[in-house]
Amino acid sequence: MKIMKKVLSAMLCCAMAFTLAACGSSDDSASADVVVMSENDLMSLDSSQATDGTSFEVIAAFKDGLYGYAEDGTLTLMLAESVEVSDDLLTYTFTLKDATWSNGTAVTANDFVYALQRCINVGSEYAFLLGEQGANIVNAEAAIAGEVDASEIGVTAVDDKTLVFELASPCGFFDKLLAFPTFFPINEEFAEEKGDSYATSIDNLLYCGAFELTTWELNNKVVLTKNENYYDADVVQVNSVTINLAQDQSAAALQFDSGELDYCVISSSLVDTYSSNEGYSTINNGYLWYLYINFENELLENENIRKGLSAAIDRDDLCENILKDGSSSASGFVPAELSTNSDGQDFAEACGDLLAANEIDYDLEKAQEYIDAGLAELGVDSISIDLVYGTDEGVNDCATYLEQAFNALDGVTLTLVATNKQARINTYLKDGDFDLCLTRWGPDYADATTYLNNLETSQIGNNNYGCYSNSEYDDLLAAARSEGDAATREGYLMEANNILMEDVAIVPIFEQGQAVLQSSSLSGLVHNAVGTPYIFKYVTKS
Amino acid sequence: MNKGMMKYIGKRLAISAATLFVIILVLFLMLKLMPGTPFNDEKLTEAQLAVLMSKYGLDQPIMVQFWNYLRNMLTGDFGVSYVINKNMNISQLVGSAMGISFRLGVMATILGTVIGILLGIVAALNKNTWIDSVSTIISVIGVSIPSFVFALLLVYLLGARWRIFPTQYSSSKPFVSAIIPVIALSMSVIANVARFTRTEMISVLGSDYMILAKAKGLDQRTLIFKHALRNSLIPVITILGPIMVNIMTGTMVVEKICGIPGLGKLLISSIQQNDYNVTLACSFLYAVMYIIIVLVIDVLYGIIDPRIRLGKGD
Repeated sequence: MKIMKKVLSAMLCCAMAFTLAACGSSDDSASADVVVMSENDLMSLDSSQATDGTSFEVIAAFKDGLYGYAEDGTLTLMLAESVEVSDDLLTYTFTLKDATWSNGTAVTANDFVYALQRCINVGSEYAFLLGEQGANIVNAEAAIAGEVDASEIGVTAVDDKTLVFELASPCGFFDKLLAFPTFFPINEEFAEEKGDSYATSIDNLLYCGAFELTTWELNNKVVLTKNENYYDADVVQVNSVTINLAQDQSAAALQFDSGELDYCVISSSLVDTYSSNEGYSTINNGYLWYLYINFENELLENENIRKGLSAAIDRDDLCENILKDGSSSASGFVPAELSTNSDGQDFAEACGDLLAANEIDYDLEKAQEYIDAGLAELGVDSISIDLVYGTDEGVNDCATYLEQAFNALDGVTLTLVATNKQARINTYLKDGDFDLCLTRWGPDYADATTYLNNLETSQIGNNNYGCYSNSEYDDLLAAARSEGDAATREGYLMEANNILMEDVAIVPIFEQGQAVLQSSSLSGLVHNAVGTPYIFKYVTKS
Repeated sequence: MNKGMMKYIGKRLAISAATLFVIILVLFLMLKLMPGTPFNDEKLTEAQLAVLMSKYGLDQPIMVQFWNYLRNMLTGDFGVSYVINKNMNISQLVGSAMGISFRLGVMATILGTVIGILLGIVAALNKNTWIDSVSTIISVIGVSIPSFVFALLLVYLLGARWRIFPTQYSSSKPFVSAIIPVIALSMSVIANVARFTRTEMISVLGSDYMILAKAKGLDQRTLIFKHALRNSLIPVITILGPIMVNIMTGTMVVEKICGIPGLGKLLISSIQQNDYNVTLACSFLYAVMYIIIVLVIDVLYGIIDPRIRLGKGD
């Protein structure tokens, strides 16, 4: 019995010692470990080939670009010490900071040149960001098309520390593009040595960012551990960040409840349960959901019919009572919080409510008038149209809502065509086999053109699935592309954005929000609606 | 092992190989017929798509692709993933997932079988008493409620509410964090095995040879474990094979809930994203597992019950 007592007291002492140790370390954020969830798996660690948000998050955690994000979410120079821009805005000369890769070699200008050439050579999905639709680097468009060698693009390493970009036309958002992981450096010698296995495991990868990737369990989790050799290591306040990959939202919410998780996103079905939780909030995740209209369809070619459909949708009701996840009603083709104009105003805000301005915002009576006028012009009593949507895209409720809204109009019969995302794109959209299609677009960079470019006449056969064409619109985009003055350029783009709503080229529905849970001890997590969703460099945990 | 048995196994192996070939061919053709390509990003232009298709040899005629795939497969090269983990070797991707699924599957099958047999014996020995009723209720619950519901319930109670076990699987705590999914997965095994054991046990207990054995004065223990149980286990063993394969294939939702990076989860995401090579490799693996398990069960069958003869040339 005595021995038992001794054992018990020894165990109690140990327990107390551990508790005290834990108390001590809880104040010390530098030794804190943060755990967050991602709904999706990590698809690629190769910055020249990655295309998804989770991959971008991880890459941006272990590697820096010329530009990156400051703690307040604004753009700032990262691996670049300084930048000089020529008067014609066509030549950018960067001087690099002293930074090293995890194998001890220096980060050089050639690492950037190699990364961009590699991006073209491997047929990266984001290579277009180098061409006319993006930065318009000299020869990039021709290199993507295979007409010239990738080594001929206008990116040169003058010496180890000096990197020069030559653009074919001014790019008003070049700095934002450079913060995108596609433009991040890759050490040529290392990547060539690894060949096909480059970036397929943590050992086949080099780091030059705030964290090093110390664990990658496929389909399960990644662990990012503080990089002590990082040039800005003092800013990093946590020991590690673990990202649970492809995690179920309900399971993540339970894990959050149990205190094992610091941050997670939750589905709208969980919102009612967690909306009173102190860690609950909503964020804008940058996606715009809208209806593609098939202009090849003679019924939908009628402007009044299109206007009637737009005016029949009560977007506020949809967002507040059906979606309930922080989504907000869309008022044009360019969503809010995407980009800021040169005067500091949000682009979408500066455009104003384009639905109201063009009288296509919600008004059932007006909607019926438009439809009646449209039917009279077409010389028919009623029309039947289909709406294609993907059941695996989380918009089933929205599709049902639209079905009810459109069928409430006299003379309109809407039939839902349920399919999956793959078939929606490949069978329906690409073949033009649709009347209306519920689709979304996520921005690639923080500029209105990431949306507006899609509806150019030249994009018919690519992303302009509805075959919308307006020469005035095309001219405005072309003018914006060659315009050096920011304010004038923004003016062109705002006008173009308005034309889309005048023509009802597409029907905007909602800007997607996301309900999230964040523990009160976690702070400093930077969220972007564009590009890299989360930046972990500044997180602290108390 | 006698000659007949060897011949039987040889014949079964040959049939298995032919079956696998047909499975791969059908799967390959069906996957190619699915809408789209592995590169489904709306942002890809036709020119870029063509570059990617040619890079992975997907622009060649379908039979050429099949032949190449088959040839590489025989050398152990299952290709690379196009989408899920870009350019990663399939053997690496599938290997890590299979290890976890297999381990959890075996653990759940063993746990479920042991508990199920015990429950079945107890129910049979106490036929038509409250003990039998409780056992039946457990069986009905186990069969009718899907395992992911148990998983959610256990994660909620044992994980989030009482905080006894971690809510999510973690490779750093492979045993403790596997408890919840293993219990959840074993529920249907318990139910099925208990039902079968009970029925068989009751029929065996009532048979003539049991009455004879009893009359000879054998003690209760020998009677049950040596004579009754051995004969009752035959049908149980026949269902164990499919049960084990089902556990390894049908656990997608449990894997998702408990955060297990297993084969089910991998297969579903590969199908959703048209990652042909991953889907093929996972399905191939399932087919191989199924065939091997069925073969093993057939052989065991003969060993347990000498009456079941694998007749010469049969």
